[in-house]
Amino acid sequence: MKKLSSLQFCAIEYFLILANNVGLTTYILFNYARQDGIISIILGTIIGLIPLSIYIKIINTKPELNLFEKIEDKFKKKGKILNLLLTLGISFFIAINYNNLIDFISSQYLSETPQIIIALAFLPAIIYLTQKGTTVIGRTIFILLIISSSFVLLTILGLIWQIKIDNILPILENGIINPFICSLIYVSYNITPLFLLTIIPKNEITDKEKLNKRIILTYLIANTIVLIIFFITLSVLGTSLANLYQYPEYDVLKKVSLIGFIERTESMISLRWTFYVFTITVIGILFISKYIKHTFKIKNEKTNKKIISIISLIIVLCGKFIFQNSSKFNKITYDKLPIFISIIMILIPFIITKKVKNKSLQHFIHNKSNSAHND
Amino acid sequence: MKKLLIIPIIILLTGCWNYNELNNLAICTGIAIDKKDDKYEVTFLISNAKKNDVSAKEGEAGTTTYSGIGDTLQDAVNDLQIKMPFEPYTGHLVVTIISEDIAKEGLENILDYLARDTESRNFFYVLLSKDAKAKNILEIISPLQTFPSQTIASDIETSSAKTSLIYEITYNDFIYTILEQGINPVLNSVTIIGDKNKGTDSKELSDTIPKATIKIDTLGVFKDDKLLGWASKDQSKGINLLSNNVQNFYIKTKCEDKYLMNYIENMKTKTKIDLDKNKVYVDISGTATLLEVNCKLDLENPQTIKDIEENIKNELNRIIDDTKKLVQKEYNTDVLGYGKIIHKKYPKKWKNIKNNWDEIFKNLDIETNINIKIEDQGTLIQTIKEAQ
Repeated sequence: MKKLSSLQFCAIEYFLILANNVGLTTYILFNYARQDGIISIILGTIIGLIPLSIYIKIINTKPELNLFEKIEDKFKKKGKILNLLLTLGISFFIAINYNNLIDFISSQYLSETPQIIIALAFLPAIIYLTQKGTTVIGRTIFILLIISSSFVLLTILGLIWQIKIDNILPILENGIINPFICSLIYVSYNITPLFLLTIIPKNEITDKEKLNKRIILTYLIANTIVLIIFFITLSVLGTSLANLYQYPEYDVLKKVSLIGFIERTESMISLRWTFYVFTITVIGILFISKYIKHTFKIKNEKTNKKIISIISLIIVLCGKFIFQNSSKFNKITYDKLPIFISIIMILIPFIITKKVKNKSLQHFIHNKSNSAHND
Repeated sequence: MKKLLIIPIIILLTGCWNYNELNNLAICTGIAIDKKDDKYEVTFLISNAKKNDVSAKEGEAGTTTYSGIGDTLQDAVNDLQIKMPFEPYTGHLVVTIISEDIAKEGLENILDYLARDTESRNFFYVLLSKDAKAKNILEIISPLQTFPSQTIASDIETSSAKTSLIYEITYNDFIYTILEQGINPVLNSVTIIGDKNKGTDSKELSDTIPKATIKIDTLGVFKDDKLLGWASKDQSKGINLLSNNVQNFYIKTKCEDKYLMNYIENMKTKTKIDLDKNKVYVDISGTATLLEVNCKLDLENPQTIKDIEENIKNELNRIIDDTKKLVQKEYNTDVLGYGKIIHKKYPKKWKNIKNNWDEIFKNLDIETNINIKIEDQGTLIQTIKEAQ
């Protein structure tokens, strides 16, 4: 079996952290935490270490099994219900992500194109990549990481001269409560997608001994990038303007100017957001397809591919049916969705690790008592 | 399966739904918004007019304008679109000129429409038309630039770099100041000098003296989104100077009964506010160069240089006093952004005073400390008169 390198695994992790930033997290941070969004991101990064440690623990437990096998191994029949809940939650989450991307493309690039056509445009690539499996996904995303990093660099260099520190003031004008709530929302949108990584068994990674350290390092790098981009957007546009636009990161890109002639690059630079959402969609569909494969014990590769195609089509299209307009989308993404995501992607994984811990503890006590009895 | 996948790829990845040939786009580089019988009159300056292709005669304008009238801006745009054979494209919009009448009523509706447009980039210049219809300004052809919109943009860019009268105010900057707490906006104005009817005729361009030209004029002073009135030339300079929007400054001082011209570079304005004492401390610094001396002065004498520096200081103080009167007493609008400084530095104090800010601003004691040093006297050691 072909394997994934830990760097490729971390490239996926990086993309998952940034996937919900545009249109979701940044929109919420600017609207509810305003200039204190910077504090929310820092707090969110610290709080996010808790779910991250849970995910690392799941990844490290029984490295030869994937997530569904691990859950069923521990919870037996109840595990099937947990697996179903997780899969349904992830499906909904991925649909929302994809819907967010379609909204962005539709409002900024292709305003006259029916959204359904935009949604379908990515479908062949998503299906093809998911069918190819984790190795190809890893390689593709690593290449996309290199391209997107150059875009990030171009953004920073093109905007750094236009930063006005005054724009990030005053700090904590309306107290800490809003920034704190936003930090939790930040965790639910930017950190919880890392749960999707648990679908890749650790044994499928070549240099797995370096994995834990690299996961944490990538986590810090990705969150720093989020912080830098947020800081630049805020300090260049100011809170009032950043609040006004649905996609302030895109509007600030219109100001990118390097050496006097690299201008009007926003359409190209913003491509990286497409990469991020594309990644989360692919990994999400991989997650769902693995669940179906595991639950219905599908061995035939052709059937599996067909299932992937059908799931992809459903996921890609259902986002549009859930949210008819962006006002509804914005409202739900602030007050309801973070709670739902937290239950699915923090609480359930926490229960899983708790059970593992209890089992390990029982196992440890059992061994101890046995050895004492023998003595 | 792979073969099946090729079909959607062929259909979906070959081009865009929004695809539009460049030839079928009317590239709009300027918009003028006027009021006509309680309705909006919107004029688009189209910069890829075909008449340029038909005749290659030098000087013939490749621009044309289309106007439409409606209850809302979009309504007016729809009206003008009916007259146009192509779809207007605002991605290359350079300037938007808004008439004085509309600005006096408030710009809220106009701002919303332009910001919502996904094609325009929001970094175009916004100006007010002064003593002329915005539409007429957009129609004046310059002998130096092909497009009238480009004439205005170049004028703003060149003048803002050299003089203190003009400051580059883009659409985004303007919205920012309207939305931001503790600051009110200002806008550059533009007017026509000469015969506006002849200024639109491309045949007149062959004359050495243009029949009409566009001139970027003084600042329009706002409270929120409503225009209150106009600043004078000195007051406009003063507003830009006190708001730290000036880098270079031409200043004329008296010597004997004649004049002495100085050019101040690297100007910096630092503002500190002491709310307890109700005082604003403004430090202005820069380095000056003598450009023109029309009187008899001993420039080798350090005392003469000190005297000139003192004169510059007095002249700047006069301009600032004039500005203070305008913004504090006459219009009572904080276009200098002192409220914004308080909001940023002392948010708790700002919360308590923001509702009374106009009253507090009116009575603020603005104290200036000007430090201008003459470092360069040009290529002459003495004045010509002194040498004689």
